[in-house]
This record gives sequence, structure tokens and C-alpha cells, in this order.
Amino acid sequence: MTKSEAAERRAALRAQAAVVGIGETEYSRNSSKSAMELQFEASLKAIDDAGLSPHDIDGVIPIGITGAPAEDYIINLGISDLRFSALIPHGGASGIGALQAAAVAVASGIATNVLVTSGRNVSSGARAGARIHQMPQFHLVTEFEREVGAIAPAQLYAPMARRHMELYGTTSANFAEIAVSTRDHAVHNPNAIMRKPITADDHAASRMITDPFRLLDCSLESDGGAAFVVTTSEQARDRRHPLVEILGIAMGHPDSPNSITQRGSLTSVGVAKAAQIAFDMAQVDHSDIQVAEIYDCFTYVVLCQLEDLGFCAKGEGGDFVMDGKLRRGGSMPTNTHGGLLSQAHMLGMNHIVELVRQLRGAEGIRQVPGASIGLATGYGDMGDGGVAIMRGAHNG
Amino acid sequence: MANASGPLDSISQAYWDGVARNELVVQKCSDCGRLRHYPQVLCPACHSFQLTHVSLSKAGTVHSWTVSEHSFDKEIAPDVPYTLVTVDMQEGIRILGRFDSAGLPTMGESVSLSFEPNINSTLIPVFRPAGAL
Repeated sequence: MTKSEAAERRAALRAQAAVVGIGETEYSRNSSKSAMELQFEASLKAIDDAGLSPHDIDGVIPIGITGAPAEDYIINLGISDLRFSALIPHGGASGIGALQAAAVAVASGIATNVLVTSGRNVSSGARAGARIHQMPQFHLVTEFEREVGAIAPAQLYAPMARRHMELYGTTSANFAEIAVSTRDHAVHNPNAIMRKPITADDHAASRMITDPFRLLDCSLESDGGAAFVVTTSEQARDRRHPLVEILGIAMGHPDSPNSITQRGSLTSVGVAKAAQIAFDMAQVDHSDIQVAEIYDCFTYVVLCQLEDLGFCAKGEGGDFVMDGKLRRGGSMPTNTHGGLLSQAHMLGMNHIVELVRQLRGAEGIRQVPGASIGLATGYGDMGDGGVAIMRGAHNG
Repeated sequence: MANASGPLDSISQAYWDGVARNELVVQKCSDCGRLRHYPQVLCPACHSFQLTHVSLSKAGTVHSWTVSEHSFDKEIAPDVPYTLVTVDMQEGIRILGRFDSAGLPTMGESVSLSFEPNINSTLIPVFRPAGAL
């Protein structure tokens, strides 16, 4: 198959699949519920939001290492005929990967209603620095870098940010703009954990974790669940909520995906390989994107992805964010839910849920006025990436 | 000496044996000559399974770094703050090590490598500015 034939086949998937239901639990740092309970709570909400019964689900993609396997969905939801299941082991890029897999499954007729779901309770358990070393994709870090002192994701990613600063003059003030704008979005979201406004001075005064990352550059450790249901665009029409369908979607992985140390360029991540494919498939330009939900495990990771997505050239991300375009009322409000930095760390599933909310057009005070085309990204493990461009029908 | 044993330690045994001798030992493809690190099964260029091991110079230049001030693990608390440095080795692979110097590293700074015990007595890569003892 030639490249153009492949592009034609992808184009045939444009606007064929939709997110018809979304659900989230309360996000907190002290849930008394297990990861599995949180996952099922979010799942039932998403199924109900889709106007479906749990018996209607015939595809399941559980997200994250605390995810229940497909068999647990069969017994708990009473699914009599599960026709599709998959595991997408790419950390925070798994939600976009699952959306892609679900879209293909429903568009091809393999399944009709695919549930993508996640739940985690990490506040009472091991911190991220211990959890990653249980994951097979981190085996090189565990063997060669952990004993050196590279224990947590922050320490693996910090050299990427430092390199970017040294090469391009990016500053901590650029990171602060992302932290501050994201927090301001969270202030307006009742289901966000961090709702006290912050300033750039607060960012500069927050304690250094691992240079250049200060505390306010880092995402939260949180408990909760998030889920969505994918079906065909045709089936999703005339449901409870306006249609929100997938225009373009792609995944991409950086070189040396399981060792940042050995990666040729430290300043680019997997979404760089996916972005143009998704934009071409969607048949939209960057200037068409009215709202963005960009995976934000660290402030720098947002800046890097904005470049890799093509919103600005490599190295220009610092200047790009400083005009306030990511803020409420800006030209591309970003992480309107408060993201992983200030709403909750729900593996980017909350980014997909928020994008659907925005494109339904009824988000109240958080609504980006008139938003009908938006974008969500995922970033997983050491830079696996995904991007989805979606369209809401509420504006015509 | 201690080795973070894992399912793949058979392919990394030569590296750890080298570390115990204070040598940097990496894989080299027997067919196309490409160096690779960390250890892996196939040559990504020619897909040969055949490999030898070579001992590299211990000279490199700083590619990036981070100074960790937060203790991510109680075992490492006595070391905090410490500097992790990503180094381009002369022959082309990279090594992540500790940076042992009074100052911060700088981009492109020449450094030299030795393997020294960490707080758990595991030998880890340690870099110092070239010429320093």
C-alpha cells in the first residue's frame, strides 16, 4: 500500500466514529474506593450518559495498570457477548490509543459500543517513583538508571526540559504561564482538586523538585475514574447530547521510546510523528482548533507538544504561550478542566472527557464560546504520543 | 558487585562485568559494526543477532542534566541534592550518571567517567569534569 493509499483509507475513517457518552467520578486525594470501584462508577456514568444499558457494551478497553481485565467487565456489567477488547500499554497516551482502537472497531463493524475506562487509587499506595519500576516498558530505566538516582518520572523528563532551555532560551517563566493558566481553568471547575488561584510569583516560590521542575510544574497524584463510550457517528446522532465525532487521530512514538537517555533528540516527543497525520486526516488546519486539552504531566511537556503539534516551530514554545492564548478567553484555551496539573491525574482520560464536554457546547462558565473543533493529546511513559481532533455538531 | 537483576540481565551481563572492572562495555554488531546501548537483542540497523562487546573510552561531553532536590525515595535522602547528568560518550552512545563537582555542569563540558559505589554499594556511573581527580 502506498503512502497516499494509506492516507485515503484513514480519510475514510474521518467522522465515522463518535464519543457518545462520558463519565467521571469525583476526583480526590483520599478516596475510600478501590481503583476497580472507581473504574466501574465512571463506566456506569458514561454508559448512562450515552443513553445505553451496560448490556449494550460489546467492546472494552481498560486503561492503566490498575485496570480490570475485560473478563471483569463481562461479569460486572453482565455483558453476554463481548466482541472486542484490547490493552494499550502507553501510560498517558493510552486514552488516545484506545479512542483510535475503538473508532476502528466500531467503524469496521467489529463492535457497536466500545467502553474505554480507567480508575486509580494512588493516594494510599505507592508513589509514581515506585510504580513505574513495576512496568515492563521502564525495564531499562530500572536496570540502568534507578540506582544512579533517576527514580521518578520528573527526573527522567527534567533533562529534556533543561536541554530545551539551553538550546532555545526557554525559561521557567514560560513554564509558570502554563501552570498559572491551567490553575485558572481549574478554579472554575467544581470537580478539580486544586482550586486556589496561583500567580507566576507563587510558581517561582514553589520548592524545587528536580531542576528545572518546581512543585507547581508537576502534576498531581490523585484518585478517581474516567470513562467514555465510542460508537459510530450514525448511531450517535439524535442521542441525548449533540454529536461529537472523531475527525483525525494518530499515535506516534519517539525514537528510543524506553530510554530518554539514549534518544537522539531530547527535545521532541512521539506526538511529533502523529500530528500531521491527524491534521491531514481531519482536513483541518491549526488555526481551526478552538480548544485544546494537552497532556500536562509537567508544564514543559505542554510547551514541547505545542511545538511538536506544529502550533509553532521547535524552540518557539516559550514565546508562543506568553501572550495568554492558553487562558480563559485566549485564542486557544488549553486544559479547560485544569489538566493533570490542577484538576486530577487521570492519565489523560480527563482530557478526552473535557474535550467532548466542550464540543457539546454546554459547559457553562468553562465553555469556550462557539467551540466546535478541538484537539486532545496523550503523552505516555517516556514520550509515547497521541492526538485526536474532534468536532462537535452543536454549532451546525 | 550488585546488579539490578532483571529478566534481561543475560544480555546485559557483559556490561555489568565491565562495570565491576571500572570499564564501560557496550554491544557492537558483529555484522555492520554499529555500537548500541542499552543492551538489546537485535542490531536495529541490520537486524543481526551476532554481537561482540567492546570497551569504550571514558570520555564524553555533557548533553543535559537535572539537580534533584526532592528525595524520591527514603534510601536516597542522604544524597539530596544530587545532580544527574546525561553524557554523550566519545564513541556515540550516552550514559546517565551522577555529576560529582562543586559546580553545575554546562552544555558540552568535557567529563570523564568512573564506576563508583552508591549508597547501596551498587556501582554506578559517576562523571567529573575532565582533568579533575
